[in-house]
Amino acid sequence: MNEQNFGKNKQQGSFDLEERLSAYYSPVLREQPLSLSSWQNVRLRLGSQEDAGGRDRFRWPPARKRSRADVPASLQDALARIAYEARMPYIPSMLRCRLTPQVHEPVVQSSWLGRRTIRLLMPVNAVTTMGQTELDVLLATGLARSMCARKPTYTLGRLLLAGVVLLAGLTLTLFWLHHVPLIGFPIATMLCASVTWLLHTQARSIAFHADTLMVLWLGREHVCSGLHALADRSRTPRRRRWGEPSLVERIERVCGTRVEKGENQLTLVR
Amino acid sequence: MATCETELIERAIHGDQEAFRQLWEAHHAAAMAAALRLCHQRALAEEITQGAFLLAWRGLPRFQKGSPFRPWLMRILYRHALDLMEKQRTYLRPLSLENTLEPEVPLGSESHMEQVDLQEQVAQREEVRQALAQLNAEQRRVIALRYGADLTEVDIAQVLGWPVGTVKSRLNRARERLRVLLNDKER
Repeated sequence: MNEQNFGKNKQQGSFDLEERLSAYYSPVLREQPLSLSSWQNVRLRLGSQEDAGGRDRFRWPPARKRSRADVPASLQDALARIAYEARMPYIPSMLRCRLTPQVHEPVVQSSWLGRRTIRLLMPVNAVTTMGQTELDVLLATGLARSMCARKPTYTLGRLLLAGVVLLAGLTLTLFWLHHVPLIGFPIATMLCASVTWLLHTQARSIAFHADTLMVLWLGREHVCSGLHALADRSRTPRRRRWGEPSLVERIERVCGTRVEKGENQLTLVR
Repeated sequence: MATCETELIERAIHGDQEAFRQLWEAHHAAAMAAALRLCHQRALAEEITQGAFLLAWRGLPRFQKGSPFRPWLMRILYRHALDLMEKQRTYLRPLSLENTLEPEVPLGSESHMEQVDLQEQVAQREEVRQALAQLNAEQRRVIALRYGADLTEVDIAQVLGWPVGTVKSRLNRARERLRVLLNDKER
């Protein structure tokens, strides 16, 4: 029937959009059974349902028992999808979400010590007002950063910096013991300031690295759209926090443009 | 059947892969048909179907007990299909004759006239594909769900997590744009 419609429309020189779209997607197809190998392929990647809860079972200190109901199902679904794209195991307990009136824009925090936990702080109405792209970008940011932070290069860097902090403490103690604390204090302060600056640089580097990963998982268009939406929602998109690039910086790096989304759309009008 | 399925889901939630295999047996063919209808490419449709089942497996602990399995699975499948299609930019790939045919129809079995019709059909679909490629990703998503999955605006809103009003406005804008694009091509 759809084929007939195509012919008829061509002859008449006019078209019905609905019919053309229905014909493009074709009528409902018969069931399409797949071979056994297809199931085998799925089965190999299933893993165990207990993986999610089992990994933290013997941890010390024991994690606080947290109900899955804390995190809205839409967030869990979105994270499961992103974890799938990232070829990473999805562990429901790694996402913690807090709805609070104290924040005005959603914030994602991942542990730069390399823990898997992703913390999401959201304004109370955000779950209903946030678009899917924003949510995807937020969650993918958290997941990618926690993944990057566990890379050996960054872990080694943090260990070295921890060593420097110890050295600063030791210096201070030694000078104290030799009754010349006034010399030791500026040295220790300088070492601690250097460590703070280096940690800040590392955290920014992780953030940019994570953005690159996010583009691989979600696609540049999707990420750009999400970042722009987050920037529109934010009151201070240009503000940098400690170890955190501003949204504008991230947009410039990911989308390669300073043009605001709205302006960009205007320039596409023909 | 429903009780049996509920039991299978319950077992799968507790990690029983054999129960999940039975769910796969019962639903994968319909899921594959839906994916193939959306993306027109058999290999990609298979990838989508497998991915949707993997996501369903991971999401089973959040499955609302007592509700039917297939609509839940299909919602996952549609979301996954749209993500994958956008990621792989399938709308930029020209359609081929094989993609237009149903898989059961072997290529070369038709008469000359049927072949000509088929080529005409491919050309027509190719025009629609090119027009769809010029929409933005969100407009393509609503169009795919409306015409490729026959979902209502309310269902689309549920699948994409958008408000119904947003779905309606995006659908209308997409239709307007397609009308302009396809009209231009006809002239």
